[in-house]
Amino acid sequence: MIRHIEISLESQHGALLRVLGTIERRGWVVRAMDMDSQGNDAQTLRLKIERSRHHSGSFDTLTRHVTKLFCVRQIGVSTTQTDECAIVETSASPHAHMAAVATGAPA
Amino acid sequence: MTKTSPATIAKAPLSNRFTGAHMLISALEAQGVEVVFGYPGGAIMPVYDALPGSKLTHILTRHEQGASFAADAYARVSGRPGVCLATSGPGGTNLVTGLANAFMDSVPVVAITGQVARPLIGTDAFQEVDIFGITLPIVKHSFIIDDPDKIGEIVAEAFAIAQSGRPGPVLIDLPKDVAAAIMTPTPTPVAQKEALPILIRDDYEHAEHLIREARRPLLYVGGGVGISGAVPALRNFIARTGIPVVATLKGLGAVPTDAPEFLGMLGMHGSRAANLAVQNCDLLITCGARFDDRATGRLTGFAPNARVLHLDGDPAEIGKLRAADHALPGNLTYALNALHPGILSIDTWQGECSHDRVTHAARYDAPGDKVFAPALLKTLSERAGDDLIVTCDVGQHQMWAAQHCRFVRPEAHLTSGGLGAMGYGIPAGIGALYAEPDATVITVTGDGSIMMNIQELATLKRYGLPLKIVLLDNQALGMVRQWQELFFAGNYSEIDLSDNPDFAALARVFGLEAMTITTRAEVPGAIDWLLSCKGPALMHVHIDPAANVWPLVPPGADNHDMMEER
Ligand SMILES: Cc1ncc(C[n+]2csc(CCOP(=O)(O)OP(=O)(O)O)c2C)c(N)n1
Ligand SMILES: [Mg+2]
Repeated sequence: MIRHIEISLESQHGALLRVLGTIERRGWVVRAMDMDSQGNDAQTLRLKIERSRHHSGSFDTLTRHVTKLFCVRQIGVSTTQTDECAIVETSASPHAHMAAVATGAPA
Repeated sequence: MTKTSPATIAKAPLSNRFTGAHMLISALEAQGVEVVFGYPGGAIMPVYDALPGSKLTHILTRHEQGASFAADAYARVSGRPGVCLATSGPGGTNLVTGLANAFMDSVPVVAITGQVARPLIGTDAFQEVDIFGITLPIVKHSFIIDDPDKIGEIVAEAFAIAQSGRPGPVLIDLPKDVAAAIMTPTPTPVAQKEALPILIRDDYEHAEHLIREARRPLLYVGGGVGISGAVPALRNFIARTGIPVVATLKGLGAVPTDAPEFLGMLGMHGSRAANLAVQNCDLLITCGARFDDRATGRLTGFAPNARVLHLDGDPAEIGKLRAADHALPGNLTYALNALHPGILSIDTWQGECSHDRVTHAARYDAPGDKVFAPALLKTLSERAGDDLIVTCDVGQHQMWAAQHCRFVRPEAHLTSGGLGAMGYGIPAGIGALYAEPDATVITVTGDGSIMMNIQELATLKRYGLPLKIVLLDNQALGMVRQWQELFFAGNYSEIDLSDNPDFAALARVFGLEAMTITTRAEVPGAIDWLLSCKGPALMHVHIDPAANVWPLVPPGADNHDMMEER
């Protein structure tokens, strides 16, 4: 079953590899992807992913792992399992404010 | 050709000018770093040039793996990030096992690697390795510093990330030209830990309801309790409720070994009382634990009749391997302090648990006159007192230490839990001694493991570190031998170490005091000797090569299907 996921990424060195690596290591296969940029400091990554044959981990667990990455600002997921990409739930990364906190800038 | 004397080639030391490397050092000082463990080389030379005269104490290990393990142990004991330093290429790759160890055991480590200069990156330059790429799956986050002006900010962010939420290692890759760049100092922000979420009252009320309804509740405690500083909250919760407790390998010490509610370690080499309690409980209060396969055995047969109440600082652990009936993700201390379930009717269950604890207690009266490792470790840990820290290697000796030593705090037991990396013990002992110089630090190692970082004996000697090493020598890779005996029809393949060096002589060559014992009668005197040594010392103990670790839950079995000594 194909799931859709839309990730808003910081434009940081390695961000794309980190996200794709996490998805694959946690037992999912990327079937399609596209990416565009939102100005200089962020990108939107849209993926169609599918659970790999030998894996039983839930989609929820996967999205929590992706949300934990420090290059991820926000993640949207479709709750339908069709080919249509209808992002209905989005959640901000708990770390979205970290860089600001660390540099003393307003969060 | 004219001869050039070294004096004429040497340029003015970089130290006369403020460079990126000085900025790095001052950023580390601003984070409160006192000790760094490292090893120099080409690409990190500007940093080593800036080190003398700084407030940092640099400990030169004899291998970068030693530096990474020492930083890990320093962090586990001090609660502050451990820092290690290495050059590019082989320096970085030698750190990899240590980073993986810190990642799997959630330890805040900041690793700084030199990198070739920016214009050389991507050209297969000398000692160029993509350490950023190699370590992506085993770090919490990583940075390549491409601009000297970002050094302070990135160091602060690295420290914030390493310590926040579920801690973990962060790598900073520093190109040589960035480190050597002349720059104006900038103030470094100080890392702020990210606070964990605190839940609403309703969440706690539902949890209290589950606890009140349970007749056979059990606390399953993991490393998360110690990591998050929730030990006092956990102990208060136990005092309020009287709920029995089992711990994972990394949860040991969160509840003192001799507390009446403590049933022992669960899982593959867990105690019978702990594993029976898990299998018979009706509510498993999972506290900073993650249903690791070494703890659960066959997952579907684990705590088969229990509801699960899961408390964890990392929301990604909730429901990862076992669905939770109710979860309290977030700050563990807050959650444990908030839970007041009232009077519980669990007397029968408490009685059953303490009965099992007494009936199935480990026995120390093994026949024969060979040294019985469990008894030695038990006595040694009791004699060492409350400031004991045991650091372990990996194998049978590690499991005996976990099963039989007395631990009164989580920092008392440093073990490579998730990664199971042989070679951790001695460097971890070094890190622990820098974090707590007055502690009695004992490394329990095996004849296989000690050789993985034997070079660190030289570090002990150089810095006069009073590490007490107990080497349990069974002339074999004992844990592998045990599995070959039990599960591979006794087909012993490549486990023989009967040509070991004379370890006591080897230790003396490195400058340690050493003694060897072979019989049980020598144990009390050897313990007296070890505890009285003022400097680094090694006690080489010959044990029965056929000794096994019991009980054992065979792979794929349920936790109550324990094999016992035949
Ligand atoms: C770096 C590393 N390599 C291999 C292993 C696999 N392994 C686990 S225990 C063990 C044997 C350890 O032998 P020793 O240190 O003598 O301990 P013993 O089991 O004999 O007490 C081995 C090879 C490991 N855990 N770590
Ligand atoms: Mg051995």
